[in-house]
Amino acid sequence: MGWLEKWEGGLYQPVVMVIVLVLCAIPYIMPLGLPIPIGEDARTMYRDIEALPEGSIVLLHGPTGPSSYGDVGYGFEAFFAHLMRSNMRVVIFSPSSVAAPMYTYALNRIKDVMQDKVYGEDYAYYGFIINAETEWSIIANDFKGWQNNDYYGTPITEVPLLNEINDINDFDAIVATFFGTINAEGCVRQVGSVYTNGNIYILAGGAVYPYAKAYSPEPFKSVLFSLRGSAEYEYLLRRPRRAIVSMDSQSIMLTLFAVLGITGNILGYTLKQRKIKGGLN
Amino acid sequence: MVATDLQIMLQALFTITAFTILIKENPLSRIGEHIVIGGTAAHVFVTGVYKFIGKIDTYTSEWYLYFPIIAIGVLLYTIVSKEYRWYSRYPTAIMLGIGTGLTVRTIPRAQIVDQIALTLTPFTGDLLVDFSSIIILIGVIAGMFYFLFDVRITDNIYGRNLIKLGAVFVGTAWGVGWASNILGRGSVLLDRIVFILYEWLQLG
Repeated sequence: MGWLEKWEGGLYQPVVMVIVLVLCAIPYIMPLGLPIPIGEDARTMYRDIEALPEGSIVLLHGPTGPSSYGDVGYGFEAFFAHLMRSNMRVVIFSPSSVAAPMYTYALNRIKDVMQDKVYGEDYAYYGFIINAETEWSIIANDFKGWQNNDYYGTPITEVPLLNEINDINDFDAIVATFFGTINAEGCVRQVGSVYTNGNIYILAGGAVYPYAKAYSPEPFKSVLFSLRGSAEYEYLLRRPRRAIVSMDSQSIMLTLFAVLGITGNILGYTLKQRKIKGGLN
Repeated sequence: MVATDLQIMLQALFTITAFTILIKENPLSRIGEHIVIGGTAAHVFVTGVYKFIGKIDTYTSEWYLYFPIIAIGVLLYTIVSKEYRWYSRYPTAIMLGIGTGLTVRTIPRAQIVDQIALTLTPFTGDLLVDFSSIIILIGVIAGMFYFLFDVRITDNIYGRNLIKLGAVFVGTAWGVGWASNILGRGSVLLDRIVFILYEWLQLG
């Protein structure tokens, strides 16, 4: 069996996988320092958040579940840190029950900006609501009616920040992280047309971005893209974390994908031609 | 120095078992997969039950109203029985109905009227923005014709070309979606690499 036939049979697949993993790992130990151009969406969002008066109430949707944390979780941390650092008051809610523990995880990772913050006054966790359409419908229409407690079981009447909210338009801005298309579309349908008090800024995961971008500038004023958008925001915050350090690896990974894609096509075409000519016989 | 925290060690273990599938499917990857799926399912079940109990606690005076809801919810579990499986269609239909109702209620404005309005944007004077607006408008029209199979415009060359142009726009949009999706999955892979290097092996 020639090497081309071995390749067709997938025998080199583990080798390729190991090469990809090793090459992507190297920049984490020896950073390349490739430049990161900052997009207009990230700048707009950063400027707008900075322009909000202190004490404004912002709705922060996220984080998503553990399986998508690498895609949009770092962005959630960056947004949360920015809002806390700017002395905003933040109400957080998550899209699924498996996302709820990731909220605690994210909270631990932004401890540096949370030192003087008080739960219930500066930030509060509403908990999770499953089903994209339902969650946004509840947030838009029935914030207090749906549940009387926060995630920890404390009555909303005893959590001053949550107690202030009666309507979606009590929020001065909405910041959301989306991993699934249906969550973004749920937000467009249920909130987009009724929310008039501020702007909606989103961080879209890889699967969501092309579809979410169709809803920009209305109702999504800014649409940031996946890990790249998170890195841009970390840069603007001057708070480098994992998104920024992952950019070199992402560049290598994309280059590898392109090279492997082109090589695979050339090899596939060559093999096909050889079969046609009877070269394999 | 490898982290000795139990939580981090478990995370690392399951990450490595997941990575072993890259070589080929093996017992280790299957064990890891089953434990994670089982753990997630259990977590979803327990948090769901607690949330429900919390709601009943909240509305103690109207607790009896929850009986029909509990009954409908329990019917979902008949799916595990071959004989009574069809009962699970009732709660499924109710959930689908609620989802559809909520969606249909808001689609006309949010995804039809507003989107048409944003497609037909007036000229701004900014050459690049106006050019983009024209491309979007052409893309929308051509894309729509690509899907309107019942309109007989293929009899003339303009109609055929319009459909071809629509195919180009639709194909490009799907290609961008696919590439973007791959990039998102790649980000998840990088998250695991950075976890192994920085949190478990503590190299960063």
